[in-house]
Amino acid sequence: MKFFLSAWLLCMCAFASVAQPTVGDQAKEINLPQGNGKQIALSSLRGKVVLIDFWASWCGPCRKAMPALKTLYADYKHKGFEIYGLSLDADKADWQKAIKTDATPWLHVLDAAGTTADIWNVNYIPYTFLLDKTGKIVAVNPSHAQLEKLLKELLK
Amino acid sequence: MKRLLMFVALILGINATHAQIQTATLKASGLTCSMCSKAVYDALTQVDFVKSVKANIQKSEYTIQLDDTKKIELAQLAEAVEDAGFSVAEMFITTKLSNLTVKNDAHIEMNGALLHFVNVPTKTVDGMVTLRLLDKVFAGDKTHKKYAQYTTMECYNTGYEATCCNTKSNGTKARMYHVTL
Repeated sequence: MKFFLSAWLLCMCAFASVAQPTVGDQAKEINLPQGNGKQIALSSLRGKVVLIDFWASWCGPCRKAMPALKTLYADYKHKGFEIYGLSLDADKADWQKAIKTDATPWLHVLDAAGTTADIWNVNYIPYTFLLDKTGKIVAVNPSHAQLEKLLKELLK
Repeated sequence: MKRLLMFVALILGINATHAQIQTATLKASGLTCSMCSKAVYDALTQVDFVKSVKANIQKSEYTIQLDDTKKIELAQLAEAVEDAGFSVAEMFITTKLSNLTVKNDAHIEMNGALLHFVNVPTKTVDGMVTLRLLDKVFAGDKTHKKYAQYTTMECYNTGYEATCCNTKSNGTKARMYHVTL
């Protein structure tokens, strides 16, 4: 336990210099599996405006945000909006059940080891990043109103 | 579902008497979604001697880098978590010790924080060590009580220096932190 903790701490020190991705940065590549095991690369969504939504089935606030996201998705999907739902669930079954319960129709990938959350320096959830058509970060944790405004602008 | 938050404080020390505290890990508990909590994250980052906080959402852990040029009052980390509506379930500090002999009831000072060793073998430690905090605010009642049998010193329960170990000539009682290997 102690060895593990020390080793882990050393890793954490190595990551400590990793900066939080911010507005203006080019999004780092993400390549994670969907429920069927097939991976979706974030870069394959270039040309669309993408919301990366870090969430988990056990995260109450994340689940509460879903209905509003569904409304936006329904309104803007045909104009080129996509959501890359990135779950931090450790249990695949919990993840799948939550997607079914919430009936969220967008892309869902699983980061069961938390590697992507670590690289993206996500320290709490929900945590969202909005990317423009070129894959550049245009907003971090936008409110519903901000998100809608940006979608209008970016998907003219 | 009960989620736990763990906070790690990595405390790096140069020598035995003036060891420097650099990082901490802690696990907090709460009935709701503690790892979702921006409040916990924000509260920890706002503590004066905290340089940076990194959450591991899967492991329910926070790793906290501490500014070793400042006086470190570990209790403030627990207070920050409590102010955000949660409590600390587990906390570890990591430090580098140089040829320091630890034994039961040994006291060492780090960044002005007095550490009291509980239930440890007598041995000389050279290098990185991870210490678990046993005080109630960092470990909860159950763990705190479990380790109470290993020391008879009054400070274990009060959290403050008692007459048995008071090192200050003016008689002020310093905050004590109880740790085990």
